[in-house]
Amino acid sequence: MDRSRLELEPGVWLEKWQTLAVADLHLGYAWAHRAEGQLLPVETREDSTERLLKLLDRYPAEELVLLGDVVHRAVDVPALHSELRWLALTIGERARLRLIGGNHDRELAATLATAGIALEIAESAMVGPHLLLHGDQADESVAAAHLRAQAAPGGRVILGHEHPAITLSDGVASHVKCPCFLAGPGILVLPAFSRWAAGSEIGRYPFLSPYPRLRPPDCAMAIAAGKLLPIRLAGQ
Amino acid sequence: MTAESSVHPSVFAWFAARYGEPTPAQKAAWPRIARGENVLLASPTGTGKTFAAFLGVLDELVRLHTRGPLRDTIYCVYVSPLRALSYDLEKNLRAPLREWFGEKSPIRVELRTGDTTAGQRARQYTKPPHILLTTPESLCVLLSQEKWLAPLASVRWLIVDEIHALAENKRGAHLALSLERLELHCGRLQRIGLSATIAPLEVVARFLTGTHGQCAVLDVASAKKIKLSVHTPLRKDPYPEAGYTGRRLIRELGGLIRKNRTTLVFCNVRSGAEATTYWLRENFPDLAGEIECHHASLERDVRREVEDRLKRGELRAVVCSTSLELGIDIGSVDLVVMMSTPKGVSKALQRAGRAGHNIHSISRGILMATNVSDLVESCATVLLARERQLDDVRLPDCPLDVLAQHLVSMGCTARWSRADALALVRRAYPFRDLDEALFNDVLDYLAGGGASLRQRYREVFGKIDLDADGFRTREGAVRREFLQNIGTIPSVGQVTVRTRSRLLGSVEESFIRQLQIGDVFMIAGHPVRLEKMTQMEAWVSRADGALPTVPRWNANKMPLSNRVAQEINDFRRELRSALAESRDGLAAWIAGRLDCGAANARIILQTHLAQHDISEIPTADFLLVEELDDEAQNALHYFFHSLIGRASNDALARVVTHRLGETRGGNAIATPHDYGFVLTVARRQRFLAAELPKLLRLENFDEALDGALRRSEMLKYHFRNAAQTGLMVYRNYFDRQKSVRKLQWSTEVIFNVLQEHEPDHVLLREARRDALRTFIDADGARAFLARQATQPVRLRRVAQVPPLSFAMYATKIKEALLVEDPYETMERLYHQWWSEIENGAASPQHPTSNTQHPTSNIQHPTSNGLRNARERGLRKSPSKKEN
Repeated sequence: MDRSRLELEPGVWLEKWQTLAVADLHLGYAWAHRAEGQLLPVETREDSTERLLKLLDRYPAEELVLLGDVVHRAVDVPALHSELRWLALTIGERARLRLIGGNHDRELAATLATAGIALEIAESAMVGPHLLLHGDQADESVAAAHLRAQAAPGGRVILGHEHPAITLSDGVASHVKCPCFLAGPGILVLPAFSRWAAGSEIGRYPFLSPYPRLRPPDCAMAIAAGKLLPIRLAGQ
Repeated sequence: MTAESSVHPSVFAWFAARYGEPTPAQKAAWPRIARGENVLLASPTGTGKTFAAFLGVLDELVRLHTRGPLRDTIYCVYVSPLRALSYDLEKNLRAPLREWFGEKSPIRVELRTGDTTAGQRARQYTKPPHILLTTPESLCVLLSQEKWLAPLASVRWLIVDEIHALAENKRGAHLALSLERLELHCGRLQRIGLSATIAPLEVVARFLTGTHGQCAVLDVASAKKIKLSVHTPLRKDPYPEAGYTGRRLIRELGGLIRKNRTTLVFCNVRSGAEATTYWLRENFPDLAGEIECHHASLERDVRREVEDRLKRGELRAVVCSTSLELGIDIGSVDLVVMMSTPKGVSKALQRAGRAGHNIHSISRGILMATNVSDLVESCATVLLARERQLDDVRLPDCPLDVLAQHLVSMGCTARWSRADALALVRRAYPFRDLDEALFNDVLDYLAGGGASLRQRYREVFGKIDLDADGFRTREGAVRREFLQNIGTIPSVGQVTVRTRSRLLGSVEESFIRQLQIGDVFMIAGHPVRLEKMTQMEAWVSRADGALPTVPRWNANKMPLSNRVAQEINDFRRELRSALAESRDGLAAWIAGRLDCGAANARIILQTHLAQHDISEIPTADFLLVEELDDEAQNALHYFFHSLIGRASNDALARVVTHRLGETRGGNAIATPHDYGFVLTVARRQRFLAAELPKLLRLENFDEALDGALRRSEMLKYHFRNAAQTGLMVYRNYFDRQKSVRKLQWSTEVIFNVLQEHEPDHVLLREARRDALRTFIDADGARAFLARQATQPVRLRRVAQVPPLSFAMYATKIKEALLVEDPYETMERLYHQWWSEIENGAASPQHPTSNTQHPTSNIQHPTSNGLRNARERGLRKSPSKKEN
């Protein structure tokens, strides 16, 4: 593995290519629910953009890739438009912003157009030998092909979509659910960047994406108390 | 005005011919109702309450009809907490109407619940019934629609049945608001409340009539004779071997069932009902086909079948949880048996009241005590019941989520000024003290946010349009969706259990998650094998003959009532002083004091003497704290003997733990129990006696409790309910479809966001209020600390688990074990500890050396854990010998 590192914020820094990647921002989560009639709090502004800017402070990134589910739902709401514009503007000043579309981004292209944001949405991106995508690919054979293709040059498939989390316990009465990375030969699953994501406990239900199903990760890196805790995973 | 003269002669003649002499409840109620008074009638089930309420109504409708045809509008609304009650009532009302008028009665009775089909609803609107039988939720649905205002304007009588089951929870608060809105709309409403035994009746009367109404309180409770007694399968040995008591219990229960035609058996929890049904059938195969199970997690059809069979006299026994406490018609039952104490005097009387064939027969109720603490508690309960010393009911105080829901409902039919809406809400008893600022905060929340937010964003997508003067609910989708989400009953993580042809019921998701395909568990007392799991459903097949695991349901455990706690404290104090004088004649004294018989008195004495010898008998005059060294686990256990009920001890334990955490750090774990709580710390954190008063000081109690609750599961649980009832999230949104994607989101996250950014959000405030009053009792804990402030605290080191601490300690260990049969576990532990006491204090054993390590089966319970426990713990019948 080249000199990349997992970032606690969370994300992954691919040093050789000066690229940062994060997944599952789900911008406008509260607004999306409001549009459906649920009174989630919108008073507090999302701080996703601020957190991303802090990451750009730390790493000399030339590129920032958003691995899908950039928005929770592309509702036609001015607040979301301004959030997206702000993101595009402030990040755009510091690095090239690349968007990969996820299952929640179906109408994002239209919203970007309405908001006057000139950003393309791709299905995937290659960064060195690594294939970056969201992970909502339905077709197993396509996924299998991707995994094989990246293995040869020592690359990985890097994806989001799963919102992985793991519960740590002291064995008696205390337990805490932490977001985690899932890593294995040729695969890396990023936890969700969004503060709204509760996290899906691994092992509880089968993976959503064919990639980790086909190539089960053997290690979970839990983000707990400002550190990364590696946890060996038994076979699923 | 006599009972007879208050009703039309032909109606009275019909009644006399059909039913004979009116019951005391009817005699008391008819004249008052005929005079137009609001009435609260308190009387046990089977005393003719239905006709006490309805005969006058029917009578008046008949009179109106003779003067000219009745209009197509509603004259009387009946509300009950259970659909089943309304079904029964419909039949009972149609009968006299049919006898008077034949098939085409000019007086129409109809049912309106969540089950009413769209076609039926449409017909009810075009031709409204004269008498509408409904539920609190459905009533609110009608009140939320403009088109229903006309038929509702003519309502004259409003009858609330089983009002005791509504007054003390949010459903009742919800109904209270509906009643005020209905009365405002009708101009004048005569309110009739039907209640079982509960106290204080004055408060329930206020709840019924609101802050502005008068109410005649008719207490006819003594009309029915209830005879309670205590049985125990314990004979000579207070804590016999594991399985012994269980086996004996089932045998004795079977004996009682054989001696009576029909027996109703109450268990406190659903899993208990399941297990008891199963073991009864296993041990009495000739009766197996006539023993059934009944609880709220069984499918309604399954329950109806049991109820019908019971009514037809086809069943010898029904084992239920609390589901048959309310007055569903189940025919006549000879005997009621309560497995272990019902935790309160009112409950004991309500349950026993289900027995008896008619108003004149004596209702017999037996409390089956399963261990010595249970025995003392049961005796205390029976003594109090004889004197009708009931526990006090407590009503919720301004539940904000219910308020939010009703404000949206009100706004559907009219524009309201803030002042008018507030005045109306305050007429409802649970909201009498509603703070105006809080009221406005709720309105802001419903409008999508405060005024400045609404200015900043045009589309806050709130539920109401709000300005300085008043509000109105937004039209279109908001109203449509609102109508689908009315109610206060939270949706829980349940999985439906079904066979190919039939729905059987539901079990908790957390239980089914531990199982693998092929595992056997029980439902409705029958073993079933898990064949297939989808996200929402568990498909099973019958597995008769296989050994099942008892499912778990996370129902609220009822805490001990204050009255009974006090009675037990009194007993202990008296025993202590008697003991100080002499050991002679104590057994006889106990037998007289508790009215429990000589054999029971002896084992109670044995237990308390052992307690006296190893430690001392705790009373309410001081606080006994026992310290037990657990070398095996490198821990110390402190048993705090605050006999104030689990709910109060839960609050107390949280405060103590919180304070410990702040002063000493480290991890202390507290386990609350009715009789006190257990505090476990690392050995190096041993206390000195002098430190205890600081942990127990009254000042800053509220802050400490708030701090303790802030990140607790309990608070999140209450927030989840508040978020649903308060319309922040749709009732089923986060659970609906259960696709894994939906599972990635949860109300917990909303909770975290609010805690951090908007700690004063109205729904968080409601969650806190709810948390402090529902399962934990902050007031009770505070009262205890106030009393304790002037009393000594005594810290004692003990070498074994003292008998009066058995129950607390077993609970602590038991709760960590997800899989073993809790009943067997407790028996095993008790027997073990008692043996250690009997074998003498000379060589202190480590009490936990043989005990199941609490961590062995928890957190990530695998099905291996399940299987191991099964192999180890469960045998075909309760075990003969352990180890």
